[in-house]
Amino acid sequence: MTYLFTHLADVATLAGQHLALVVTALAIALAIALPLGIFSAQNERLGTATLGILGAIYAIPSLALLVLFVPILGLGFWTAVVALVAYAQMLLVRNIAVGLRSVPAAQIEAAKGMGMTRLQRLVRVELPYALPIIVGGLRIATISLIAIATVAAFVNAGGLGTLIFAGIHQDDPQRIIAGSIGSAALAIVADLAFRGFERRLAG
Amino acid sequence: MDEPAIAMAGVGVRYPGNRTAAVHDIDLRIPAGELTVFLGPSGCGKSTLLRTINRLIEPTAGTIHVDGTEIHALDAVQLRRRIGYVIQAVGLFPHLSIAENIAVVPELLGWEKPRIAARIDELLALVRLDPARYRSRLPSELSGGEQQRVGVARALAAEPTIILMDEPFGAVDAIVRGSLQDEIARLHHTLGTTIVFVTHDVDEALKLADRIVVMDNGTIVQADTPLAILTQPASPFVAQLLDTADTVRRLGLIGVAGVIRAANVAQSAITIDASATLREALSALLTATDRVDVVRDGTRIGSVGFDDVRGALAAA
Repeated sequence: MTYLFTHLADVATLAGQHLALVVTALAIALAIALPLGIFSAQNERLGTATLGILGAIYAIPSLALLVLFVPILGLGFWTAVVALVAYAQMLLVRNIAVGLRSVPAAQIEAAKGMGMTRLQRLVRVELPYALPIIVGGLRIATISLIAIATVAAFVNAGGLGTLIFAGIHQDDPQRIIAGSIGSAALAIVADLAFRGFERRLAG
Repeated sequence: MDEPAIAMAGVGVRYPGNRTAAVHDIDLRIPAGELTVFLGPSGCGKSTLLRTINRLIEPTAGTIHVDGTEIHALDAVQLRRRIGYVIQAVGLFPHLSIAENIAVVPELLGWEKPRIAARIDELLALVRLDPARYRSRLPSELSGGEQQRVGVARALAAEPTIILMDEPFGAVDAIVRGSLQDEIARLHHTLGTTIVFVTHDVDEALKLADRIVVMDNGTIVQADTPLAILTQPASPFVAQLLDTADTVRRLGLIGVAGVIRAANVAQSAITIDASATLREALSALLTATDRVDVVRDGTRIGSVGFDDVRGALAAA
């Protein structure tokens, strides 16, 4: 573990890059997943088809998916972001759709009967009800992306994976350990933060 | 002629793919300010008919006028905000406090905040929940009966002239149900709101209704006052559903006031109030000798005997 302590500043910089990659990807992924999830919850058949396609993307090995975008987008940060966004879709869309479908019929009936429009029902009743499940999906997606983002170093996107790949090339286990511990720590912190948030939502 | 609050003409509902209509040939005028009960066995179409009034179900035949306006001339959302709606499952929003739940429709209508806040306190007091204690609680912290009180308050929030109630007390236990029924009777008496109430519980219908609409197989088989239905059932089905042979049930609908024989001398040690029903009079008579005294505001105004009860029954 000596490298981790002697190069703490370097590790911190890479962790920052790692986090930037994950946060950017999550923000974009959520913006895409929200309408997709709402739409999947409303239409059973199209929802099944959407989740089928997203499931297939999710099943592609991460390294292969990253490399797939290189001929189109070249190397770098945004190539990795695109791959991470594609990965996160499955987890986010599924939980948004499941959350929205779990709203009890009585609440939908009451909301309709009181004169809420479709949009008001969604924003005031259905999304708040589904929020804990959606946040649960976001937590799993975040942890997955932190893990997968280590591979992003392969397409020159930076992050803690840089240390791991360098360690492999230079036969330097210290760097591999530093990179692994760094990304594991990020994942654990993210997990705890989201769990805390979920507990607060549960009231 | 008084304009009815709700007027249905030739109303029918046929669900796509079903050969028989869920509801058909409904002609009904619901007078303003009355409490009308749709009574019938499950599957008779009473809930379906109720839900056509606020367009949660679109009728496939006929017309429905609410306060003189055909409901399809209005936007469904606007129509629903004008009509209170209470369902058996209550459907309070779990992430909102009691106050926020009650505020939903006033907020949709764009009321000012102070007006909404004042209305919340007024309504909680009206349904006998202490505003200071209940305002900021969550629905999950309330009992089933308390939740339905909030459900009723929420339906009353925007001062609707019509309230629709779909088996509102079906999920609460008998004691709570009784007290909620009393509340509705009291609210209806004080507010004068037109209420359409769906139930399969005959005693609940007899207790609350100004008029009972008996339904079977998707259509109306009889619509009249509770007493008229009990004394002149239109068909064997109605007689069986309401057990019209049960004369004691009938006595529960007749007030003692009409049969009092004036007397200023005490005839009995047992007294009943002048607001009692003949059923209560009979019950008292069974514990007395042959007459009970009737008291109004602490003063004896007369007495009632077995023969008076029997005579009133024959006259009804």
